[in-house]
Amino acid sequence: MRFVHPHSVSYRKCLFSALLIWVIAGVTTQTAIAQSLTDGSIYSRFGLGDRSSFFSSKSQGMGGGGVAFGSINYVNFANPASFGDMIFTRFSAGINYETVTESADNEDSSKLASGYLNAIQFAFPLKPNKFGFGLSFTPFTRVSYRVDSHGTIVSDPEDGTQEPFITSFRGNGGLHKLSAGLGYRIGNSLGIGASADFVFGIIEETQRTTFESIRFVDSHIVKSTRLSGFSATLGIRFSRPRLFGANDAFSVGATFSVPTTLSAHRVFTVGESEAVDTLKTNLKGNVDLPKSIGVGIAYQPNRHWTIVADIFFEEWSAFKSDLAFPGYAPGGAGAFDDRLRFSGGAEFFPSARDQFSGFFRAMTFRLGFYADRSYVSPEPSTKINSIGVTGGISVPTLIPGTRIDMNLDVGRRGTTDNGLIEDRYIRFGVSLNFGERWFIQRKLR
Amino acid sequence: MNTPRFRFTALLLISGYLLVGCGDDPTNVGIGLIDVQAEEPEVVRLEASTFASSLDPDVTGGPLFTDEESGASRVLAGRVDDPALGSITALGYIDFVQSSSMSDDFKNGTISSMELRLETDYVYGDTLTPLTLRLLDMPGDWTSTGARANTVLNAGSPVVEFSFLPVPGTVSIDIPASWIASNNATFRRDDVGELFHGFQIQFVDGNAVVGFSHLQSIMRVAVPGDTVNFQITELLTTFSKDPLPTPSEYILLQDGSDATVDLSFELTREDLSDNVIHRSVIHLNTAAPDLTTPSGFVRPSLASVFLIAITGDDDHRVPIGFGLIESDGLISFENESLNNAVQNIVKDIGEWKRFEIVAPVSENSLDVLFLQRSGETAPRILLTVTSVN
Repeated sequence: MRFVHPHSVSYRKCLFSALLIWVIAGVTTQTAIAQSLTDGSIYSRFGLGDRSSFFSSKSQGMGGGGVAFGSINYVNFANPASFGDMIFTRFSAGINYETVTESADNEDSSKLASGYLNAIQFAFPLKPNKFGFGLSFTPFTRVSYRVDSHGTIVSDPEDGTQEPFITSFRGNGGLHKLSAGLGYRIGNSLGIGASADFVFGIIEETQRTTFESIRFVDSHIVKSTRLSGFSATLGIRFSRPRLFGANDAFSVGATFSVPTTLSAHRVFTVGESEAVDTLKTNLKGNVDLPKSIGVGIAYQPNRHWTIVADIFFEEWSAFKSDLAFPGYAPGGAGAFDDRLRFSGGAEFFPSARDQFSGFFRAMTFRLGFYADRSYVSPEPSTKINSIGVTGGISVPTLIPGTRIDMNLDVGRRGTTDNGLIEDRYIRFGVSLNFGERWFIQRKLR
Repeated sequence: MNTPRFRFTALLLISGYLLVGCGDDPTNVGIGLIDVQAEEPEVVRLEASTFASSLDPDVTGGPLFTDEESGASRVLAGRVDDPALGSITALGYIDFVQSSSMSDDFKNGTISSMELRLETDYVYGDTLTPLTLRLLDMPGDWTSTGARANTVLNAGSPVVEFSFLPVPGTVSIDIPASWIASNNATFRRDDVGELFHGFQIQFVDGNAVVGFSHLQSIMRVAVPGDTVNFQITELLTTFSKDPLPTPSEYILLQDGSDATVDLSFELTREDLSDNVIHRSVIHLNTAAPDLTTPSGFVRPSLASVFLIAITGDDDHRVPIGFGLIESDGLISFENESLNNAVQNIVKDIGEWKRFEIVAPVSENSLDVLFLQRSGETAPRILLTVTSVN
């Protein structure tokens, strides 16, 4: 055993924290400066945006599922039933940085980048390993696209003066989900849970026309839709240790999110400059979100390995809205398809529960894949499918119970058939997972 | 283990960030999947729906010692019979105040001479025939601030007549001894400005209108051993006109007399109401009709005009553009103020409703400008617009 001088530990903690801040600040600064970090796939324009879920950085490295698994190092927001498994108070926050290369037949490609907050999650046990509470703020849908069209106008037909201009179509925003849930463990095998979900957000579509010449006033037309409403998620999880062997464990879980109605308020503004906007229309209505079901299994053949598989179903064919959205007109029932997502993954934890193992053995490695059939398609005869592989590394830190997770998601979405677009994307996510014993009353000895 | 841990974690973070890459290169890929909220920019050409001379008389008054910048800078006097445009008579009014304090010697002395030196800096008409003008005493107080060309002021008794060749230069007028004697005490008092009300300059004979610079024209009042200069403090020109008809294809803009042209466009029409205005340009074309003039006859032309935005109730007028006449005769107005005014008219918000073309007030001349009123070169506005769906 090696002893480290306390000052040295403190110094390295500071250095480590500085590194983390640098990375996060680097991404967010680029967001602010380049304005490029809201640029993503054109498919996010349709419906309420690209469906997005973040349950935990662990599940993200394993294909994005995780309805059935449990962990003492992570809170599993895929299933509120898992809140009952908690021993530590946990806080987690993460960001994603993503680049998308879009390509179409006979056209140049477009490279777009975006960065965004992945999730902020907080959970603590009310009674360790029995009853727990979880609070999370995660994305639900994400609208993030940009298409630039270059043109030229004969601005003065009398002298033939031509002026180049760019029409930039942008979308940003999306819906977020603020969830507060409770999980309770009944006996050693069964867990149940429920969460109240507040779904809210703003979806903004902007068409901006900019001219090279300062003699022209740029214009921006913004359609901004604010949505909000409550939903609920119910979860159940059944786990059975020593199913096939002495050290294995098997669990199965399911979640059900009830359908809900969001209230929507749309404002349409037309502006000639950044300062002046003129209200054009103001609409209000309801938007019905469909129910969703998730089912997953997890198997741990031993303490080093975890294997998960999940399937999610969302009944978007029942989507209804008083307001029009890209790909949907009011009264157009069945405009969307049901969403189906299948994912699977594995985690390898070399040290398992050996707390005295070295740094590299204390890391965790994850690999996964997913296939997703989107609920929207600009061309109804062609489904928009995504397939991707994920990987992740979880690094222990000097702070006990705290880990830094890095995930990579490489995938492809869509097709160039029928005038559509194929996206190739890479997502890099960093999450900080902090764990500590809080709110636990010490027993007198 | 701590140093390798730190380095390894840092390496992972940086590698991940670099692997994803950065940079943004948006193109038109995906444009086929966009439902545009607005069309591409286009240019809309509107001819003037109103383009006519206004009967509003021009501002021809201009105080010297005020902060106002819009006052006239010269006074005109004379009569010209333009064979192409008709007859115009200009009646000038000038008032003075001493430019320096009076010495005791001056106040206690007796005025021996008074000389009026008028600097001619503008001529319109026959420069070969002498022009005779008459000075008349102004019996009462008058003000020139904002006064227009149709102001009526009564003059008193004649003071002196003087003749000169109407060309640029200095005209010296000796004030008669009889008038000096009757005003001897007045011009030696500190409050002479309140007691003396200036002169009217009246046409007597000739065929020209001349302009006298208010800055370079003075009145010298002398007592033995001392002289005090009096400067013009107020000036005003009024006009009476007996015009000949202007050819129908032109609009005559004549400073001083017909110095304003109403201008408006059908900007409130429905198909424009949902447009964003990126740029507004108003084009006017000047004309050079064949107006024969006799030898030695000078008819100066306007070199620039202003564009004025006017409220619906005519209460507010604000200059929003200045246009120089280019070598090809084109006058163009284009700036942000014009674009904002047009955008507000299109959306039927704000106070501006129409425009005026006016000659610069500060010049105070009888300069002329002919503007094309019909055909391809009629007054027009070019709007670069985006139609919002």
